[in-house]
Amino acid sequence: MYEEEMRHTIAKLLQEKSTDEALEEAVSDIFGRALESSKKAGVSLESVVYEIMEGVEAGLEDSNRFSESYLNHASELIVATIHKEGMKRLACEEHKMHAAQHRFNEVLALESSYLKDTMESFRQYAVDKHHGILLTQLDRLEVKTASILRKMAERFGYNKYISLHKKRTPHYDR
Amino acid sequence: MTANHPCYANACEVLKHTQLFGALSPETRRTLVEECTPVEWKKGESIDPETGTKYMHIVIDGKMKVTQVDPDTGRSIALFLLAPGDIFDIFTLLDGKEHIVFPIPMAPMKLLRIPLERAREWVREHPQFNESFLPYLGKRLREIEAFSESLVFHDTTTRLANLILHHTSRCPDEQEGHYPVRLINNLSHESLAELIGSVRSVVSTQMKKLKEEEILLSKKGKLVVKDLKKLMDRCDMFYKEEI
Repeated sequence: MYEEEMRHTIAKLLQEKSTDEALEEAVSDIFGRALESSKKAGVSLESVVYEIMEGVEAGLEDSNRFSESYLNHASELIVATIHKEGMKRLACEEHKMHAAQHRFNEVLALESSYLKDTMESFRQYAVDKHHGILLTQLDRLEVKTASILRKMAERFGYNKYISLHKKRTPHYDR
Repeated sequence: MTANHPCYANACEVLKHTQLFGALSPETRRTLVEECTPVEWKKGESIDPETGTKYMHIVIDGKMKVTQVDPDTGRSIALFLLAPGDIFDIFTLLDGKEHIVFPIPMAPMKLLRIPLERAREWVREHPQFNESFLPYLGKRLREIEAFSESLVFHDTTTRLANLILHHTSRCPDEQEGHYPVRLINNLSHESLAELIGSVRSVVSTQMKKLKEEEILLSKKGKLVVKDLKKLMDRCDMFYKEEI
């Protein structure tokens, strides 16, 4: 499909005595589309590049302008197009990676805060209701929670997001 | 589609040479084509995953893979590669239940489309269709069975060799002497990996080895088999015996 399009476009542009820029643009455009569709369809780039080169060569022959230097130039354009598209895709994936990393950090911080806030809530409850025993027991639970938080930090390796030693509020610093 | 539609004659001609529809009388084939609507899918186009639940499609030209995707990991597996004469979706045709799969055209495609209910009625009205439909189903089931076995019992090298051998013509090219590979000859390593339940990096390594050992080579950017015997030595019995 793209081979025929390339052939006709090259032949037409050469017949119209178009500029080198117009030829370059056509090769880059058609190859760019062929590249995109091959990625979507799961077709090998090897076969697509071969087809495109055949299209370029046939277009040159149709116009009696065959020269290997044209093919050389086309191959350089193809490499440049692959590189350009690759950079675009990588930049897009990098953006997604940063966004995912940010989201991950948010979730980790949030999950850690749930544990810490819960401890806070228990203490508040014990103080408000004057449950001395519960308050004493909470010290043990806090040690356990700190251990859980440490394990989370070790598992995911983002210690900076988890504070293991939460600063106590004055009312339960007995 | 009426008889004067530009696609009509070609559709009848293609179906005449297929396993599934070739044995039917020309009249019966014509009745089927007349019931259908021609549709075209572009290479790489996103197709509604529920389309197989509403319509039965018959491939007239091009090829497509039918994939399942794990929503959690994004990993996909290609269950079928469909070529002219194949039908999609065979599961919904049989049981009418929802079957979400992702068809991906790997080349510009021409298909015939018929509402699923009407397709089932047509099958009931033409019991002679079963004479070829049941062997077709058997072939598909055997492929799935061989694939499942291969996934459990064989390593990636064997699975890849099985896949290539399955699509390799047993008649060598008269001029070059190599064996043409059908359907999968221009697939990316990623697509090949989907077909054997592996990943691109592993397939790339294996393909490189097969090329280094001169079992495979690339002709005009397409895969061909240079040494069929060596390839067969890498396969299991099912694929050696078939065809």
